[in-house]
Amino acid sequence: MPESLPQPPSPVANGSLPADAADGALLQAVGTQDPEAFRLLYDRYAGRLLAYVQAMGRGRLPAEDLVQEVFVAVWRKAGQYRPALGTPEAWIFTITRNKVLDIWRSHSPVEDRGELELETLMDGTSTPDPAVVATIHKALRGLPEDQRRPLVLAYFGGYTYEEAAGRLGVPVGTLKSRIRLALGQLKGLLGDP
Amino acid sequence: MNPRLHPPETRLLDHVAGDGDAAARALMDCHLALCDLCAAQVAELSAPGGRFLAAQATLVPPADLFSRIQARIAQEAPVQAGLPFTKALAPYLPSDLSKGWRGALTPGFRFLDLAAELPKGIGLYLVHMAAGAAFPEHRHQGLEEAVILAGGLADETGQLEAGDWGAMVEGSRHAPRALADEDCWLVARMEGEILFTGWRGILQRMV
Repeated sequence: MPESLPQPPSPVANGSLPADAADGALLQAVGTQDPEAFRLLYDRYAGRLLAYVQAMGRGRLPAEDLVQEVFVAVWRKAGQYRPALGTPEAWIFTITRNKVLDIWRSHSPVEDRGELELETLMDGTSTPDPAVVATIHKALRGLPEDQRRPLVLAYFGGYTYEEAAGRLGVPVGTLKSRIRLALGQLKGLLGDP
Repeated sequence: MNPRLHPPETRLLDHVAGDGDAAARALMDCHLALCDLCAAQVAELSAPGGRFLAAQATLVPPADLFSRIQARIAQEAPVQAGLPFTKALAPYLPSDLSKGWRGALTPGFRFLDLAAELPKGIGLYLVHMAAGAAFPEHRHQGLEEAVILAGGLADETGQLEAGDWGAMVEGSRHAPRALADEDCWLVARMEGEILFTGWRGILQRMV
Protein backbone atom coordinates (compact mmCIF):
# COMPACT_ATOMS: atom_id res chain seq x y z
CA MET A 1 0.00 0.00 0.00
CA PRO A 2 1.26 3.53 -0.56
CA GLU A 3 2.86 5.05 2.49
CA SER A 4 0.08 7.57 3.05
CA LEU A 5 -2.25 4.83 4.24
CA PRO A 6 -2.03 3.32 7.75
CA GLN A 7 0.75 0.76 8.05
CA PRO A 8 0.75 -2.31 10.30
CA PRO A 9 3.30 -2.06 13.11
CA SER A 10 6.68 -3.56 12.34
CA PRO A 11 7.26 -6.78 14.25
CA VAL A 12 10.81 -5.79 15.09
CA ALA A 13 10.25 -2.15 15.91
CA ASN A 14 10.59 -0.83 19.42
CA GLY A 15 13.54 -2.98 20.33
CA SER A 16 11.99 -6.48 20.04
CA LEU A 17 14.30 -8.06 17.53
CA PRO A 18 14.00 -11.77 16.92
CA ALA A 19 17.17 -13.01 15.29
CA ASP A 20 15.10 -14.78 12.67
CA ALA A 21 13.04 -11.70 11.74
CA ALA A 22 12.27 -11.57 8.05
CA ASP A 23 14.46 -9.32 5.92
CA GLY A 24 11.52 -7.07 5.07
CA ALA A 25 10.72 -6.53 8.73
CA LEU A 26 14.38 -5.77 9.39
CA LEU A 27 14.43 -3.20 6.59
CA GLN A 28 11.34 -1.52 7.95
CA ALA A 29 12.93 -1.41 11.40
CA VAL A 30 16.12 0.05 9.92
CA GLY A 31 13.84 2.68 8.44
CA THR A 32 13.05 3.72 12.01
CA GLN A 33 16.82 3.96 12.64
CA ASP A 34 16.91 0.74 14.67
CA PRO A 35 20.61 -0.14 15.14
CA GLU A 36 19.97 -3.76 16.12
CA ALA A 37 18.00 -4.39 12.96
CA PHE A 38 20.77 -2.73 10.96
CA ARG A 39 23.36 -5.05 12.49
CA LEU A 40 21.24 -8.11 11.68
CA LEU A 41 20.75 -6.90 8.13
CA TYR A 42 24.49 -6.31 7.79
CA ASP A 43 25.24 -9.82 9.03
CA ARG A 44 22.90 -11.27 6.43
CA TYR A 45 23.96 -9.22 3.43
CA ALA A 46 27.53 -7.96 3.84
CA GLY A 47 29.17 -11.17 2.60
CA ARG A 48 26.93 -11.47 -0.44
CA LEU A 49 27.26 -7.81 -1.33
CA LEU A 50 31.01 -8.06 -1.02
CA ALA A 51 31.04 -11.02 -3.40
CA TYR A 52 28.80 -9.26 -5.91
CA VAL A 53 30.62 -5.93 -5.85
CA GLN A 54 33.98 -7.66 -6.08
CA ALA A 55 32.79 -9.65 -9.06
CA MET A 56 31.67 -6.47 -10.84
CA GLY A 57 35.22 -5.33 -10.23
CA ARG A 58 35.62 -2.51 -12.72
CA GLY A 59 36.43 0.27 -10.32
CA ARG A 60 39.66 1.36 -8.73
CA LEU A 61 38.18 1.31 -5.23
CA PRO A 62 38.30 -1.76 -2.97
CA ALA A 63 35.02 -3.68 -2.87
CA GLU A 64 34.71 -3.21 0.89
CA ASP A 65 34.75 0.58 0.45
CA LEU A 66 31.87 0.27 -1.99
CA VAL A 67 29.94 -2.07 0.31
CA GLN A 68 30.45 0.44 3.11
CA GLU A 69 28.73 3.12 1.00
CA VAL A 70 25.96 0.71 0.03
CA PHE A 71 25.13 0.14 3.69
CA VAL A 72 25.16 3.88 4.37
CA ALA A 73 22.62 4.23 1.54
CA VAL A 74 20.54 1.38 2.97
CA TRP A 75 20.52 3.09 6.36
CA ARG A 76 19.39 6.37 4.83
CA LYS A 77 16.80 4.92 2.46
CA ALA A 78 15.35 2.01 4.41
CA GLY A 79 12.41 4.18 5.42
CA GLN A 80 11.30 4.00 1.79
CA TYR A 81 11.06 0.24 1.69
CA ARG A 82 7.65 -1.38 1.56
CA PRO A 83 6.78 -4.85 0.30
CA ALA A 84 4.97 -3.47 -2.75
CA LEU A 85 8.38 -2.40 -4.09
CA GLY A 86 9.54 -6.01 -4.28
CA THR A 87 11.51 -8.42 -2.18
CA PRO A 88 14.10 -7.03 0.23
CA GLU A 89 16.83 -8.69 -1.85
CA ALA A 90 15.59 -6.97 -5.01
CA TRP A 91 15.40 -3.61 -3.25
CA ILE A 92 18.92 -3.98 -1.88
CA PHE A 93 20.18 -5.15 -5.28
CA THR A 94 18.86 -1.98 -6.91
CA ILE A 95 20.36 0.24 -4.20
CA THR A 96 23.67 -1.57 -4.62
CA ARG A 97 24.04 -1.28 -8.37
CA ASN A 98 22.96 2.35 -8.35
CA LYS A 99 25.33 3.29 -5.54
CA VAL A 100 28.26 1.46 -7.11
CA LEU A 101 27.58 3.18 -10.43
CA ASP A 102 27.43 6.57 -8.70
CA ILE A 103 30.77 6.00 -7.03
CA TRP A 104 32.45 4.68 -10.15
CA ARG A 105 31.27 7.68 -12.12
CA SER A 106 32.64 10.03 -9.50
CA HIS A 107 36.02 8.30 -9.82
CA SER A 108 36.19 8.26 -13.60
CA PRO A 109 37.48 6.81 -15.74
CA VAL A 110 35.97 3.45 -14.93
CA GLU A 111 38.22 0.59 -15.88
CA ASP A 112 37.11 -1.57 -18.75
CA ARG A 113 38.42 -5.00 -18.05
CA GLY A 114 36.98 -6.58 -21.15
CA GLU A 115 34.34 -9.25 -21.31
CA LEU A 116 32.01 -9.60 -18.37
CA GLU A 117 30.36 -12.96 -18.20
CA LEU A 118 27.70 -14.37 -15.97
CA GLU A 119 30.13 -16.90 -14.53
CA THR A 120 32.30 -14.03 -13.32
CA LEU A 121 29.39 -12.32 -11.62
CA MET A 122 28.04 -15.43 -9.98
CA ASP A 123 30.50 -18.04 -8.83
CA GLY A 124 28.54 -21.25 -8.58
CA THR A 125 31.31 -23.15 -6.85
CA SER A 126 31.12 -21.42 -3.46
CA THR A 127 27.49 -20.38 -3.25
CA PRO A 128 25.39 -21.62 -0.34
CA ASP A 129 22.77 -22.94 -2.74
CA PRO A 130 24.19 -24.24 -6.04
CA ALA A 131 20.71 -25.27 -7.20
CA VAL A 132 19.54 -21.66 -7.18
CA VAL A 133 22.63 -20.57 -9.10
CA ALA A 134 22.01 -23.33 -11.61
CA THR A 135 18.44 -22.13 -12.04
CA ILE A 136 19.56 -18.58 -12.71
CA HIS A 137 22.29 -19.70 -15.11
CA LYS A 138 19.81 -21.87 -16.95
CA ALA A 139 17.24 -19.08 -17.14
CA LEU A 140 19.78 -16.62 -18.49
CA ARG A 141 21.07 -19.12 -21.00
CA GLY A 142 17.48 -19.55 -22.12
CA LEU A 143 17.45 -15.98 -23.31
CA PRO A 144 18.41 -15.04 -26.85
CA GLU A 145 22.01 -13.84 -27.00
CA ASP A 146 20.95 -10.34 -28.03
CA GLN A 147 18.93 -10.06 -24.82
CA ARG A 148 21.24 -11.92 -22.47
CA ARG A 149 24.35 -9.83 -23.08
CA PRO A 150 22.67 -6.44 -22.48
CA LEU A 151 21.19 -7.86 -19.28
CA VAL A 152 24.51 -9.23 -18.01
CA LEU A 153 26.38 -6.02 -18.80
CA ALA A 154 23.93 -3.29 -17.85
CA TYR A 155 21.58 -4.87 -15.31
CA PHE A 156 23.79 -7.28 -13.39
CA GLY A 157 27.20 -5.94 -14.34
CA GLY A 158 26.83 -2.25 -13.64
CA TYR A 159 27.80 -0.94 -17.07
CA THR A 160 26.09 2.32 -17.96
CA TYR A 161 23.66 2.21 -20.86
CA GLU A 162 26.21 4.04 -23.00
CA GLU A 163 29.05 1.68 -22.09
CA ALA A 164 26.98 -1.42 -22.72
CA ALA A 165 25.54 -0.07 -25.96
CA GLY A 166 29.02 0.85 -27.16
CA ARG A 167 30.39 -2.56 -26.32
CA LEU A 168 27.55 -4.31 -28.11
CA GLY A 169 27.44 -1.89 -31.03
CA VAL A 170 23.75 -1.02 -30.70
CA PRO A 171 21.92 2.26 -30.01
CA VAL A 172 20.98 2.94 -26.39
CA GLY A 173 17.28 2.73 -27.24
CA THR A 174 17.77 -0.75 -28.70
CA LEU A 175 19.74 -1.80 -25.63
CA LYS A 176 16.95 -0.65 -23.33
CA SER A 177 14.32 -2.46 -25.36
CA ARG A 178 16.32 -5.67 -25.18
CA ILE A 179 16.81 -5.35 -21.42
CA ARG A 180 13.09 -4.82 -20.97
CA LEU A 181 12.31 -7.86 -23.11
CA ALA A 182 14.86 -9.95 -21.24
CA LEU A 183 13.45 -9.02 -17.84
CA GLY A 184 9.99 -9.97 -19.04
CA GLN A 185 11.29 -13.33 -20.26
CA LEU A 186 13.17 -13.94 -17.04
CA LYS A 187 10.02 -13.55 -15.04
CA GLY A 188 8.63 -16.61 -16.75
CA LEU A 189 11.89 -18.55 -16.65
CA LEU A 190 12.64 -17.92 -12.97
CA GLY A 191 9.14 -18.11 -11.61
CA ASP A 192 8.07 -16.32 -8.45
CA PRO A 193 10.75 -15.53 -5.87
CA MET B 1 -4.38 7.12 -2.77
CA ASN B 2 -3.14 6.22 -6.21
CA PRO B 3 -1.75 8.87 -8.52
CA ARG B 4 -3.33 9.50 -11.89
CA LEU B 5 -0.19 10.53 -13.75
CA HIS B 6 2.79 8.20 -13.99
CA PRO B 7 6.32 8.30 -15.38
CA PRO B 8 6.94 6.66 -18.75
CA GLU B 9 7.89 2.99 -18.48
CA THR B 10 11.39 3.75 -19.65
CA ARG B 11 11.93 5.77 -16.46
CA LEU B 12 10.97 2.73 -14.38
CA LEU B 13 13.46 0.63 -16.32
CA ASP B 14 16.12 3.31 -15.87
CA HIS B 15 15.51 3.15 -12.12
CA VAL B 16 16.44 -0.52 -11.87
CA ALA B 17 18.67 -1.11 -14.89
CA GLY B 18 19.97 2.25 -15.95
CA ASP B 19 22.32 4.93 -14.85
CA GLY B 20 20.04 7.76 -13.82
CA ASP B 21 21.40 10.64 -11.80
CA ALA B 22 20.53 11.29 -8.17
CA ALA B 23 17.81 13.78 -9.14
CA ALA B 24 16.02 11.22 -11.31
CA ARG B 25 16.30 8.71 -8.48
CA ALA B 26 14.84 11.16 -5.97
CA LEU B 27 11.83 11.79 -8.17
CA MET B 28 11.26 8.11 -8.72
CA ASP B 29 11.64 7.30 -5.02
CA CYS B 30 8.96 9.87 -4.22
CA HIS B 31 6.58 8.64 -6.88
CA LEU B 32 7.05 5.01 -5.89
CA ALA B 33 6.29 5.83 -2.27
CA LEU B 34 2.87 7.03 -3.35
CA CYS B 35 2.04 4.75 -6.28
CA ASP B 36 1.25 1.05 -6.01
CA LEU B 37 0.92 0.67 -9.76
CA CYS B 38 4.48 1.74 -10.53
CA ALA B 39 5.79 0.02 -7.38
CA ALA B 40 4.46 -3.26 -8.76
CA GLN B 41 6.27 -2.69 -12.06
CA VAL B 42 9.52 -1.91 -10.28
CA ALA B 43 9.06 -5.02 -8.15
CA GLU B 44 8.76 -7.07 -11.32
CA LEU B 45 11.75 -5.44 -13.02
CA SER B 46 14.01 -5.79 -9.99
CA ALA B 47 12.99 -9.34 -9.06
CA PRO B 48 15.75 -11.05 -11.11
CA GLY B 49 18.31 -8.85 -9.36
CA GLY B 50 16.97 -9.98 -6.02
CA ARG B 51 17.22 -13.63 -6.99
CA PHE B 52 20.73 -13.00 -8.26
CA LEU B 53 21.82 -11.32 -5.02
CA ALA B 54 20.23 -14.00 -2.86
CA ALA B 55 22.23 -16.64 -4.69
CA GLN B 56 25.59 -14.91 -4.37
CA ALA B 57 28.39 -16.69 -2.57
CA THR B 58 29.24 -15.20 0.80
CA LEU B 59 32.66 -13.66 1.34
CA VAL B 60 33.95 -12.83 4.79
CA PRO B 61 33.96 -9.03 5.21
CA PRO B 62 36.88 -7.33 6.95
CA ALA B 63 36.44 -7.45 10.72
CA ASP B 64 36.25 -3.67 11.01
CA LEU B 65 33.79 -3.07 8.16
CA PHE B 66 30.71 -2.67 10.33
CA SER B 67 32.42 -0.17 12.62
CA ARG B 68 33.59 1.74 9.54
CA ILE B 69 30.00 1.88 8.32
CA GLN B 70 28.84 3.13 11.71
CA ALA B 71 31.51 5.84 11.62
CA ARG B 72 30.41 6.91 8.12
CA ILE B 73 26.76 7.07 9.19
CA ALA B 74 27.73 9.24 12.15
CA GLN B 75 29.20 11.75 9.68
CA GLU B 76 25.98 11.92 7.67
CA ALA B 77 23.28 14.47 8.31
CA PRO B 78 20.43 12.85 10.24
CA VAL B 79 17.58 11.65 8.05
CA GLN B 80 14.78 14.18 8.28
CA ALA B 81 11.64 13.16 10.12
CA GLY B 82 8.27 14.82 10.65
CA LEU B 83 8.03 16.15 7.11
CA PRO B 84 4.76 17.48 5.71
CA PHE B 85 5.19 15.15 2.74
CA THR B 86 6.46 11.69 1.86
CA LYS B 87 9.53 10.52 3.76
CA ALA B 88 10.95 9.18 0.49
CA LEU B 89 12.57 12.56 -0.11
CA ALA B 90 14.17 12.60 3.34
CA PRO B 91 17.55 11.13 2.30
CA TYR B 92 18.00 13.95 -0.20
CA LEU B 93 17.25 16.80 2.21
CA PRO B 94 19.78 18.93 4.12
CA SER B 95 19.96 18.64 7.89
CA ASP B 96 18.45 22.09 8.46
CA LEU B 97 15.34 22.60 6.38
CA SER B 98 14.82 26.11 7.70
CA LYS B 99 17.79 27.49 5.76
CA GLY B 100 18.61 28.08 2.11
CA TRP B 101 15.15 28.86 0.75
CA ARG B 102 14.93 31.28 -2.14
CA GLY B 103 12.03 33.11 -3.72
CA ALA B 104 11.09 34.14 -7.23
CA LEU B 105 9.55 37.59 -6.86
CA THR B 106 6.15 36.10 -6.26
CA PRO B 107 4.34 35.76 -2.92
CA GLY B 108 3.75 32.32 -1.46
CA PHE B 109 6.44 30.61 -3.54
CA ARG B 110 9.83 29.40 -2.35
CA PHE B 111 12.30 26.76 -3.43
CA LEU B 112 15.30 24.96 -2.01
CA ASP B 113 18.22 23.80 -4.13
CA LEU B 114 18.84 20.26 -2.95
CA ALA B 115 22.31 20.45 -4.48
CA ALA B 116 22.76 16.72 -4.84
CA GLU B 117 25.82 15.50 -6.68
CA LEU B 118 24.45 15.97 -10.16
CA PRO B 119 25.77 16.21 -13.69
CA LYS B 120 26.29 19.75 -14.98
CA GLY B 121 23.05 21.40 -16.07
CA ILE B 122 20.80 19.22 -13.89
CA GLY B 123 19.10 20.62 -10.81
CA LEU B 124 16.96 19.14 -8.05
CA TYR B 125 14.63 21.43 -6.16
CA LEU B 126 12.11 21.19 -3.37
CA VAL B 127 9.31 23.66 -4.03
CA HIS B 128 6.75 24.96 -1.58
CA MET B 129 3.72 26.93 -2.76
CA ALA B 130 1.23 28.31 -0.25
CA ALA B 131 -2.37 27.33 -0.91
CA GLY B 132 -3.60 29.32 -3.91
CA ALA B 133 -0.17 30.80 -4.71
CA ALA B 134 0.66 31.33 -8.36
CA PHE B 135 4.02 30.97 -10.07
CA PRO B 136 4.54 33.37 -12.97
CA GLU B 137 4.39 32.14 -16.54
CA HIS B 138 7.70 30.79 -17.73
CA ARG B 139 9.23 28.79 -20.55
CA HIS B 140 11.42 25.73 -20.03
CA GLN B 141 14.83 25.60 -21.66
CA GLY B 142 15.07 21.90 -20.96
CA LEU B 143 13.00 19.01 -19.64
CA GLU B 144 11.38 19.49 -16.26
CA GLU B 145 9.99 16.49 -14.41
CA ALA B 146 8.26 16.82 -11.06
CA VAL B 147 6.42 14.78 -8.48
CA ILE B 148 3.75 16.34 -6.32
CA LEU B 149 4.54 15.44 -2.71
CA ALA B 150 1.51 16.97 -1.03
CA GLY B 151 -1.37 19.20 -2.04
CA GLY B 152 -1.71 19.91 -5.72
CA LEU B 153 -1.46 22.45 -8.49
CA ALA B 154 -3.13 23.30 -11.76
CA ASP B 155 -1.82 24.79 -14.97
CA GLU B 156 -2.75 24.96 -18.64
CA THR B 157 -2.14 21.22 -18.99
CA GLY B 158 -4.44 20.13 -16.17
CA GLN B 159 -4.35 19.38 -12.48
CA LEU B 160 -1.73 17.41 -10.56
CA GLU B 161 -2.21 16.00 -7.09
CA ALA B 162 -0.09 14.10 -4.57
CA GLY B 163 1.98 11.39 -6.22
CA ASP B 164 1.36 12.59 -9.75
CA TRP B 165 4.32 12.75 -12.13
CA GLY B 166 4.37 15.83 -14.32
CA ALA B 167 6.65 16.68 -17.22
CA MET B 168 7.25 19.84 -19.21
CA VAL B 169 9.34 19.43 -22.33
CA GLU B 170 11.90 21.89 -23.64
CA GLY B 171 10.21 24.96 -25.09
CA SER B 172 6.91 24.48 -23.27
CA ARG B 173 5.47 27.23 -21.09
CA HIS B 174 3.00 27.29 -18.23
CA ALA B 175 1.88 29.23 -15.18
CA PRO B 176 1.13 26.79 -12.34
CA ARG B 177 -1.05 27.71 -9.38
CA ALA B 178 -1.33 25.76 -6.12
CA LEU B 179 -4.79 24.46 -5.35
CA ALA B 180 -6.72 26.72 -3.04
CA ASP B 181 -7.32 24.35 -0.15
CA GLU B 182 -3.84 23.09 0.72
CA ASP B 183 -0.17 24.04 0.47
CA CYS B 184 1.61 22.33 -2.40
CA TRP B 185 4.97 20.63 -1.99
CA LEU B 186 6.77 19.20 -5.00
CA VAL B 187 10.19 18.01 -6.02
CA ALA B 188 11.45 18.93 -9.48
CA ARG B 189 14.33 17.78 -11.62
CA MET B 190 15.35 20.46 -14.10
CA GLU B 191 17.49 20.21 -17.19
CA GLY B 192 18.47 23.77 -17.98
CA GLU B 193 16.79 26.88 -16.67
CA ILE B 194 13.43 28.58 -16.98
CA LEU B 195 12.83 31.93 -18.63
CA PHE B 196 10.06 34.14 -17.28
CA THR B 197 7.76 35.96 -19.66
CA GLY B 198 6.73 39.63 -19.22
CA TRP B 199 8.54 42.06 -16.95
CA ARG B 200 10.08 39.29 -14.90
CA GLY B 201 11.71 38.01 -18.06
CA ILE B 202 13.17 41.44 -18.81
CA LEU B 203 14.47 41.66 -15.25
CA GLN B 204 15.83 38.12 -15.44
CA ARG B 205 17.75 38.88 -18.64
CA MET B 206 19.16 42.07 -17.11
CA VAL B 207 20.37 40.18 -14.05
